[in-house]
Amino acid sequence: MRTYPWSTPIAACALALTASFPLAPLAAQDATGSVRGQVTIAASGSPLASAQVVIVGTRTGAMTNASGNYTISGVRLGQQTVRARALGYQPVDVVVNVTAEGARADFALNSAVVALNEVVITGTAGAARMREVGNSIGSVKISDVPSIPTSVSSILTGQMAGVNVTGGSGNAGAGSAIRLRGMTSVALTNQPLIYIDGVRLRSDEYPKNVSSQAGQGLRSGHVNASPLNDINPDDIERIEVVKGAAAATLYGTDAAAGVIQIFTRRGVAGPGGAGAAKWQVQATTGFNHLQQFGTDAAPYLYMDPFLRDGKRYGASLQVAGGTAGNTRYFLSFSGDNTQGVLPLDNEKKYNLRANFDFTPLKNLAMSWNSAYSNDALQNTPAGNNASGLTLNAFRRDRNYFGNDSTYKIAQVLKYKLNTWIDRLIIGTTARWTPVPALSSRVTIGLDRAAVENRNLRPYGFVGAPQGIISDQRWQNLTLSVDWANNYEHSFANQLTSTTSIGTQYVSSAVSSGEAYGETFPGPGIPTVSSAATKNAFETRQTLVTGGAFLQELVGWKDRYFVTAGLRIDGNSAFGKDFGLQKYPKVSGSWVASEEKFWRWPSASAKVRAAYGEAGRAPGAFDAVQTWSPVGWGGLPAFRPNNVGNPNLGPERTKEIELGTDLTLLDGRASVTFTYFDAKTSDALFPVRQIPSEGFGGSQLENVGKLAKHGVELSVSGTPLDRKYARVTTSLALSTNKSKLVSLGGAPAFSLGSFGWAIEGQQVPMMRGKLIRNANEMGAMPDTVPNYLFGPSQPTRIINGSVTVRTWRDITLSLRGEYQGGAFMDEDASFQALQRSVKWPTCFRAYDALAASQPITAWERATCIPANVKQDMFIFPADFFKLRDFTATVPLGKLIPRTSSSMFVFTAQNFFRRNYGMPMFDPEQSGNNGFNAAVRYISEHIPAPATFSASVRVSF
Amino acid sequence: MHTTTSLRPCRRAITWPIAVLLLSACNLEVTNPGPVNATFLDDKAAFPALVNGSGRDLAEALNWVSYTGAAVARELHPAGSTGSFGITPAQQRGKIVDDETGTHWQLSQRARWTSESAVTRIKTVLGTAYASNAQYLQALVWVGYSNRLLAENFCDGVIDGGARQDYTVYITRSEAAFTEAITVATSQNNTTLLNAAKGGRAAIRLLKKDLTGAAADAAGLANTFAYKMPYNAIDADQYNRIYWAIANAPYRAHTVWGTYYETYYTSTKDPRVAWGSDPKNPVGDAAVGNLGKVPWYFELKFAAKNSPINLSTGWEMRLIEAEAKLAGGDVAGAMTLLNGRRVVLNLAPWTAANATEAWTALKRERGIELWLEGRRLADFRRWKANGTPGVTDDMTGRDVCFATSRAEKESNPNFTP
Repeated sequence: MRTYPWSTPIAACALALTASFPLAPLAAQDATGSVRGQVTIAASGSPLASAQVVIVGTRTGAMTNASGNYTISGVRLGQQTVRARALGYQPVDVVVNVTAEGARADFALNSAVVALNEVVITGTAGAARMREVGNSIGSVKISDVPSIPTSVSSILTGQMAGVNVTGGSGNAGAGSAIRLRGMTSVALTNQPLIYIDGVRLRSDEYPKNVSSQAGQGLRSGHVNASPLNDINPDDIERIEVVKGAAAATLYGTDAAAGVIQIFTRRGVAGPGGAGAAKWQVQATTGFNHLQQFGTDAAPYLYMDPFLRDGKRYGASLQVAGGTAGNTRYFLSFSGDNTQGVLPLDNEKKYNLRANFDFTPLKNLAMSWNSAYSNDALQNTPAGNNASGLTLNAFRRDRNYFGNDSTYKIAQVLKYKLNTWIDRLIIGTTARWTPVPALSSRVTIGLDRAAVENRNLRPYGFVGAPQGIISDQRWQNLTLSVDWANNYEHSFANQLTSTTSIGTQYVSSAVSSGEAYGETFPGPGIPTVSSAATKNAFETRQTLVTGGAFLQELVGWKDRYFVTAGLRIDGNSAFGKDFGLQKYPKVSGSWVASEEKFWRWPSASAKVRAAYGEAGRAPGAFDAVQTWSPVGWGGLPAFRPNNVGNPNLGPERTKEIELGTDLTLLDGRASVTFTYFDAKTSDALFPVRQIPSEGFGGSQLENVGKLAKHGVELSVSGTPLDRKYARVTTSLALSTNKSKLVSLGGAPAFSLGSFGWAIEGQQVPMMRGKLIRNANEMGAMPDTVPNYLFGPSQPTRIINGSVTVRTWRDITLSLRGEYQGGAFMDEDASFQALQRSVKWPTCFRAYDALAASQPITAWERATCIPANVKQDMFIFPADFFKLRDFTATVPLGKLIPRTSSSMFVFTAQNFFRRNYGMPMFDPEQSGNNGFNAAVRYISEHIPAPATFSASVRVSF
Repeated sequence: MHTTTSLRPCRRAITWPIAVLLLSACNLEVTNPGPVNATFLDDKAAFPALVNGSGRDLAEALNWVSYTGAAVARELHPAGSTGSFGITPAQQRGKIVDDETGTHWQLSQRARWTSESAVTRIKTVLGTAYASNAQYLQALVWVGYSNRLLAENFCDGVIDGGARQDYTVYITRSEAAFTEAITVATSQNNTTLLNAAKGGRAAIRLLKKDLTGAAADAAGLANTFAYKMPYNAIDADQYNRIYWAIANAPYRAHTVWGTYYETYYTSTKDPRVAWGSDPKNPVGDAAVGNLGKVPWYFELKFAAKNSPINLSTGWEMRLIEAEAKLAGGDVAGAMTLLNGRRVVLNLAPWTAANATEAWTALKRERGIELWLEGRRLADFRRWKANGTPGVTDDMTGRDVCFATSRAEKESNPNFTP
């Protein structure tokens, strides 16, 4: 082992991998020439920076620059084998004849999906090679993503089995939910933990722009932005995902829903330690276009006069390099302006990032990561909002104006909804390696998100003629400290041992202050101070988790590995009687392809098994009986708030994973298969309190048991590989079946939006009224109350992609996704039909009734207002979408004085087909936001298709 | 050995950060501001806020019950909205079903529980000194009125997660609380709450069919007496809900159109049931079933967010006395009492040639006097149970009490259907 001079685990591990390829050229002993060329990513044709290119059998080599170019001088003349390799890619050898004039060798590297020596970080105590890891770890390299990513969510959408990105709406800034292997909890958030460069981030949604004032809860655009969207996707190098408790044990309490770790790009040092600054400029333009979500007769449900194609344009600048003093840097700036398809929707965002790596002492490596983003959002009032555009347009002449004229409805556009999001993420990591066998890494991180929500109905606004204003200042401050120590030891008999010990501390403080006012003196631009009556609201909550872990990894012959670990956690939200929690894990992996009996040299195989536990902590006040100070007409007042439960603790998920990772045909094909089986004991359920006992509402109690299991299969390969025709394909299949094993004696309870927790059923189970004879003509509806339709989460997801690289490395890529098995409440139709709105799904019935012709049982139930019931609008949420089509055209040095340039066109989510739901998009969210336990469809529009063109220039 | 030697400096260097981090990781106690621990309420200084909270709880319960009750009792008719501040389709049909009474039940039960627990807490903390405590007296009054609200409007009696009982359990608790309140108010020389307790007890005794006791309590209260539940413009929870539902901000959810009170007001201009219309907004905020859009005639009794709702008034006392007389066969005496307010308002008095007509007049006059105050369903249920003659609104097929909420039925193991 050698001491790594670089600081981050990534860099250290990268060097560990390449330790056998010292890059400094030897002095020429005979006549020599040079080898030059470019290394690109096969899937996208993009240049690959920081790849190592070596002359096989020598110590001569070089690294590629930001344009993927390299030059190796001092190469002995004659036939030489040149090898290119990079972290996460399959190495490629090319044989060239080196002459005094030199030689050229270009490489197109394929992603090594299951490369056994690929180094991963997430879920391990330090860095580990894939061969050592007993659980599955998903990974996305941004260089492999052909499209122009618009957000972290868009990068993850449809990319890997078991990862489902869904929700959101067509409003500017709307975020998406991320579910890893479906739902883990019915009472707590199911968003996975998010880390960036080792720094813990907020993962739950930001508050939507709505006042806390009672009675104002619907006056909003009903948009929840996601903290993930603050991260500039262009800054990302790769993302690792561990999907369940078996892999996330070392993250302890809060990790049961999985962990996503984002790694940002770093500066690149050249062969001598110094590297010239590599610049990259990118300009992007495009537009958002809303696709039909109604019927052919009313494709946009009467929103047509208000919709537009929203323009998008943005630019980014990045510079990366290194200095002779062992300092590397990566700096980036980007600015984006995106119009929404709704008339007031707009988003202006800019991001700054500065990453530095340096080695102040011989054995000490440091890194500094900092990112700032500012997002200015403007929204249109929408959702189930009587003062909103969508609701009043959908409901036609039965709206709150009693009039469907564009002029009348457009009065709501005087509503001003502004959100400003300031985000600062700072992290520093120190890695000390006093002796080769021992390393100690400390990461300290700060994530500060500050949101201002301003909600204004000006003087003269219809429905609030005196005017109303609210202004909320919300802040989340997450401080994280992560300290991990590794001691490695090799024994003589091919036995290796890595002992890890460490602690983590996470403090998350959320505070909110809001001022509310109404009744302005007259026209003008008001502040809250302008209002005749004012009110104020404040909340503050801090949650602290502290834990320590111990892990032992034992390897034998570098192909048998066993890992055992224990995490011990405390949390400020645990009840007084609960104490510390212990989460054990054990896993094993076996590289079968390195056994003597293995007869397929072009294939590799690893078999793995893992067991682990992780938790999910309750909220700050859940354990304590509390009363709320509320006030009453200017007098002080208390009222019951929370019953409290001194025994409250985290819910605990135990998961078993079994799987295998195969590569075939010399790496041209790979197969990854995982079976998982998770059981959550002590599941936190919101047990409904007895209303006559005063407190009402619900109290979290550790009473339930949940289970889920499924398979994840990923297959990728290169079926055709010719000079001008290279085709790569991938297919990912995941299934997920959940079951509520026990309610612990509690009665079945609603999770909202017709989702129920019912013993023995999938969870959440959609329950409503079934019309058995829906299509029977002339019949009365034959209904079944409380019918169990199916789960609210998809049970099967299929992703597929095909990429074709052709002449001049022009690359075309297409990616699609199918989701099935879920059911969803479509409430917008109910709200319209019960108000006698002439609704497009009933046009046939209206005509038939007018002509005294029969109608179907379904039409009788839904098109005659007196028959309409809210729980009749539960539909299958199955759909297929084309997620993206991307064309990448390398322009070489077409632009003068540049090293390379590229043109990329991307169309995202431009085709959708529903299987069962007559209107809307099953991926939509309702008023309850994308992270709701049970989403539903309210008076929103779906997310639009996005079309972007980008030119990327490197110099 | 080599390893041991090389690790020595490491140990020294990492010992202190280990200690710091472990200590920081163990210090997990957090004090969050805002909600207070229940034990804080045992402090005497918290009693005013505790009792005010009971009052606010009752105000919210009354707000919800009076609006929905008015819609079902035909004091109002629906004009559109069915969701927020609206009248659901079931309520429009006169049905108060258990999956729509969650809020009404929860708020009403909370009002009862918070006031009763405040009484218990004050007694426990103060010991024998409780009787001289002003908050104790106010809490007793809230206990009386919150139980009266339940008694007058709900079908079942349930106390603190116990078994289902007859709704008269609330009558018992209300009367007991008012009786103690009268004693305490007398000793504290608090006339306002003494009258409030007497007025409340008169009403609850009327419900109990203790007409003598009701009339006796009522007789002690002057016409000008009024004890009102205040509302305010600080928070929408505390706005007068019936007003806010037709404040055109943006709801125009109910209308007087089609009720008895529409034509009655047109012909008499009785200010107690005044309503208005707006040419700019001639119809409600949505369609009503097969009726489509209906005329929007908005009530004017509650004309602002902070319009109070009467809990007890002297004029209600006259009607209680009148009902007692009528039940006793004194038609003339009853007519004199029930016309008392009409004389003051220069309205034509009701006339009755017989007891049946007198009962009709009484029923109409109570409807007018107590319009939109959450009292009408109790009248219908009482008169139906007592088999009193006379004509009033057609309540055929309509409910006269709120069903116990589904939440109570499903969460309370002691509740048997």
